[in-house]
Amino acid sequence: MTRILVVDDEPDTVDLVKSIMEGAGYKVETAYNGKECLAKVKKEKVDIVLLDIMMPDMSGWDVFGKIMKSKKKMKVAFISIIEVSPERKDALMKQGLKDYIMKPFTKDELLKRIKKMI
Amino acid sequence: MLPSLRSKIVLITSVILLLAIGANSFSNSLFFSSEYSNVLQSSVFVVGENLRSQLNRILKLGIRLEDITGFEEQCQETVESYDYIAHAMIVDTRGKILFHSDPSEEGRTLTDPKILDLLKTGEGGIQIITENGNEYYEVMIPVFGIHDERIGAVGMGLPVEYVSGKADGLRAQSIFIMLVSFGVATFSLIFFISLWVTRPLTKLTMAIEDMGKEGGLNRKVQIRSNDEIGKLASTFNRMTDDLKKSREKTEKYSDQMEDKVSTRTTELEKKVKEMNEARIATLNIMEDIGEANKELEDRQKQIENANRELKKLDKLKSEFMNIGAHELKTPLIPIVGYLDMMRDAKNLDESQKTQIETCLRNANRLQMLVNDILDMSKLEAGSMKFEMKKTDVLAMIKNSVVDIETEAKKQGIKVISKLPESLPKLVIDEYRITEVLANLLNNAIKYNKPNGTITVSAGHKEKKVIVRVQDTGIGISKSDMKKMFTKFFQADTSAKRKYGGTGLGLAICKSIIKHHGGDIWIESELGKGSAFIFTLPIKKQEGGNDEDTCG
Repeated sequence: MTRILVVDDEPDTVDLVKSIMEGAGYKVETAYNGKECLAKVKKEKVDIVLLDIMMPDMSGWDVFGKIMKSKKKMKVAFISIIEVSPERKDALMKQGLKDYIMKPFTKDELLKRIKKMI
Repeated sequence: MLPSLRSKIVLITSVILLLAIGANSFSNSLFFSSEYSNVLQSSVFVVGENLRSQLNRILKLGIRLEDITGFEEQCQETVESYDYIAHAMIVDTRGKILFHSDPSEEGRTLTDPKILDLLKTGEGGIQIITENGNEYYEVMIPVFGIHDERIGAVGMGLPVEYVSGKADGLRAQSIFIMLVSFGVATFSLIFFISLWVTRPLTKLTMAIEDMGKEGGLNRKVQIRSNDEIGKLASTFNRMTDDLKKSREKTEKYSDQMEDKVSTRTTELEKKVKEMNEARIATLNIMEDIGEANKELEDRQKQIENANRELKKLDKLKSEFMNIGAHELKTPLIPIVGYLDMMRDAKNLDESQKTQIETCLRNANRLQMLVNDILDMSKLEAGSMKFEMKKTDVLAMIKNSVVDIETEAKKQGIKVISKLPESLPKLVIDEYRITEVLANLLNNAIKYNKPNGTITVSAGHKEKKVIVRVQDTGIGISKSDMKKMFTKFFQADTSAKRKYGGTGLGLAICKSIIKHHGGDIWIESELGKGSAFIFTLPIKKQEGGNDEDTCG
């Protein structure tokens, strides 16, 4: 079973994504900041990380960088309000990012993107 | 020291004079003594000729030479008449003396061979002989008989001593004349040099010496002559005049200067005093300036602080844009998300479903509004980031058309593309221009009539790429055309309710196009539809070249 770690400083958003994912039958772990995320990534087996960018303690960019450095076998996708240019997206993809999902998203769209990642 | 000018001139001239006169006298004395000797000799011949003609007269009477008596008287007479003739005689062809001025000599035969040779020639001549210790010029003139036969000769003696004595006298005379003329010449020379040269020069010298003395310049040199010294004197006089004038001027000047100097000195003293005061004042001012500078520095610091504050504010503003965007968007995410999930719930009745749909639609609208407001704010604040790069505009338009085709089909609207084979590449922010195009295309769908058409066309001319989106909708009145691009303006409020929309789309489009240096406008006729047209400039490095266009 695919394990998904949802990281967002907004508990409501985390709950929303969690409900959608669990509804689709995924096992979901949650983290509410960068530190927590990195700790969970270390301890538990995670297949996909859905990572918010704007978080108070540590930005999604930094968290992504650290996960990539740890060379663990997991797929990371940003899920963010921030719009980035196609170039930036390409550069991130080259660094190992799997997808860049824009908020707001619809349930169908989100599930489609996750399926694609797997 | 060299002697005076006069002595020098006299010395040089005397030497030249002396040499000239001496040489002349010497050559004269030589010439005259030889000439005198010749003259004497010639006159001896003449005298001798005279004596011979006397003898010839007697011989012509037919008397033979041996028979003549008393002719010695004629000889004596001749000697007495001419003091330079020492003796006169008649000799026969063998040299025997027949008659002689000194009768004691008669009967003697001449033995000197030079004389004997003369007697043989028959032509006569002159020879120097020595007789009794005295030298003579002996002149022999032949005497001829009636038949022109040579019968003897007349002999005359001219003492050499007499001739040389006369020559010596001449030489002495000549030397005397020379000395006298030399003396006279030298004296005249001294006199005239003194008169014409030395004295005027002395006058001039004295005048020059006097110049230094009191009133020396008033003196005039009185030399009236046309020679160089005269000119020198008149020049000197002119010079003294000029000098006098200039000295007077100088004196006047120096008097004035003295006055001025004293005046100026007073002024200067005053000035120095004033300057001292000014200096003190300046020092005070400097102090003030120092204070002012300090104040200025303080001000500058304040300004710097204010700037820092402003920068902070600016940063805060852009942070607000980002955070605001985040904060405004974030609450909408779970709302829209859960509504989306609830829509799929199975145990809902129709009215509940409608309520959820309405909630969802409005939440979506709010989301769009938030997005548009944030974009507009960014554009107005100039904080919108444009990523300009070379873009294939034609491909961009085609993609945008593809993106709306599904939605258009859903509404029963036909999309027609009238695109050229190629368009120049442009340096633009592809994302933002796509946003503009999508906005126009969405509007064309929203405001079209049922089963209407959308025509997308593009082209380029005059350094511009032109894109046109034509619909077959209700059209826009002329008065509304310009307002269309203002914020929150919608021509038909009923359409707003029907289709949603924020009223910011076209304002954002205009702002984006303007940022690219292009233009956007509407061409419309009520009832026949509207065309939204925008242009994008082709900059030099982008257009004109076929390689830069793409099909």
